[in-house]
Amino acid sequence: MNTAPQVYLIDDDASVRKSVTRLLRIAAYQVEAYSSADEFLETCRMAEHGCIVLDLRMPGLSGEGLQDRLRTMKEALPVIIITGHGDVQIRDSMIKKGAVAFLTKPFDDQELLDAIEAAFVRNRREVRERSERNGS
Amino acid sequence: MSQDKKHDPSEALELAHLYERAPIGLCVTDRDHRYVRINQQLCDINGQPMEKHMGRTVHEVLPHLADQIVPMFQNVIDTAEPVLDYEVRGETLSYPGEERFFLGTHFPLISKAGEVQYVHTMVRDITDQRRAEIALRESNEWLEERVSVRTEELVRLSEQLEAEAAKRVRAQEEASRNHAQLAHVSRVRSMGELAASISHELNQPLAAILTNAQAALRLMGREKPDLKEIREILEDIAADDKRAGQVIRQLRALLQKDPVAQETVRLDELVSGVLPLVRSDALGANVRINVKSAPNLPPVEADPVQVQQVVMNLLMNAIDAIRRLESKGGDIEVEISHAGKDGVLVTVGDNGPGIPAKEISEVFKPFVTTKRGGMGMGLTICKSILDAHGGTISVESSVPRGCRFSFVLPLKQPAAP
Repeated sequence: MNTAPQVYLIDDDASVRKSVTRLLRIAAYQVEAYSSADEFLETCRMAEHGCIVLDLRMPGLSGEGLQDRLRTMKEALPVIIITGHGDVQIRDSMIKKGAVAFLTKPFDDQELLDAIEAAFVRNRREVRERSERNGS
Repeated sequence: MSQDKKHDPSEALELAHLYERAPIGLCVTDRDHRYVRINQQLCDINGQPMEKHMGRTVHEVLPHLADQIVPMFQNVIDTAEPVLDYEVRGETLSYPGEERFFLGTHFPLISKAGEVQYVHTMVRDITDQRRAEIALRESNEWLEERVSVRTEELVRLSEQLEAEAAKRVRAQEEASRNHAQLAHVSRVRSMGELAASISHELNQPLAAILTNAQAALRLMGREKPDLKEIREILEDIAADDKRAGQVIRQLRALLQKDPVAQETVRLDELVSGVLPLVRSDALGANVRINVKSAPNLPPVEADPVQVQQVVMNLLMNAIDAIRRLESKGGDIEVEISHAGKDGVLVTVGDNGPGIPAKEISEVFKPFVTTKRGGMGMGLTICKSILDAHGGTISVESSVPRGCRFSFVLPLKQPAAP
């Protein structure tokens, strides 16, 4: 099954959600947008291929909290952080925890698209590694 | 009967006994003011033995008092009328060099021929009584004098107080100028603390604008651009731009250094205006801010910027308090309601760790803080702002869960006719 990769956008700001969704659709990505990490966890059935574009500061479970949660899952998608806070400490800790990129709002469209492409590359590698482990 | 009585020997004895023993000075003098009879008590008063009286004149016995006594004796003789309670003062031999006071009653003994033969006299030494009266009068006079002195002192004091009050008023005016400066400093300071938060609030619309603009550019790069979508994008850009402008305006209002501006304001609107400024901090601490507003709230007369400063301070404190909890996250309840008929009440309650009872009375004092790195001026400034508005602020807390700050602003006074 060779489905197109899916981008999951999680941001509580409606304008950001709308504009990023629009940009990614114009750039020919499939996008699903969620207004909170809790909503994402409750309703999303994550595809095998794709990535998560994640805001940090949100009501309820924060972006950091969601990333921690994802790391406990076996088949989690790579994460790209987009945030209004350029806090260096959080940035380092998120990268250390495996975030593909840490983008500070406002970010350039190409930065995001590059990060998504990098996330897809990592995702494909991880899927391949998983299937090799399972196959052997 | 009278004849019998007169010759009754026991009656004569009684009278003699009375004359000798009654605790009062008694004597009889003749028309030449010579002593015919005198009892021991009067001898003691006069300071002369009985034999020095008998047959001698008042002038001889009482040289210092005679001038007062003799004319009065003469008057009794001349008029045959008694003289009651006649007061004499002067020196006697019993107390040489001392003025003493005597009260005498004198009445005539009239002969069968109808003329006054003798004068009966009864004398009491009233020196002690008079001295007590004099002492009393003097002490009264002294008191009156003291009172008048004290009154003068009080007048002086009250003048001093008035001067002091005037000085206070000047100091108050100065303090209120200082307060305006301090509030400004505090605003600028908390703006510094809020800078990260503000930038977050600005970065959201800016991110949306940039992303939308670049999305539009991508669309325009196509052979047949979808103009309908480009129009939508431009509308979104305009909306986000306005939103960013709103944040900037809020920021500018808080940074302005104005004297207290009295405006007619609605507290629910002021509270709503503050929320975007603390929203990011609230999210960062995973705090939900719930606002409940009573319907039909009347406006108040206040400086909107200063009141927003109070609300912001209370919200930031509540967020900081919740941040200190282990449980990571909490709720802030903001309620705006009627404070009786006279004001509008705003309460900011959190479910943070609360304030211990022994510290709660201190929270409005300057330089008292429970926050690491806090200056302890926030609530002091809140209080001084409310004082300046004729309002009140109070706090209640229950350790371990939560505390609640309440402030009341008085209603806008109806315009004077």
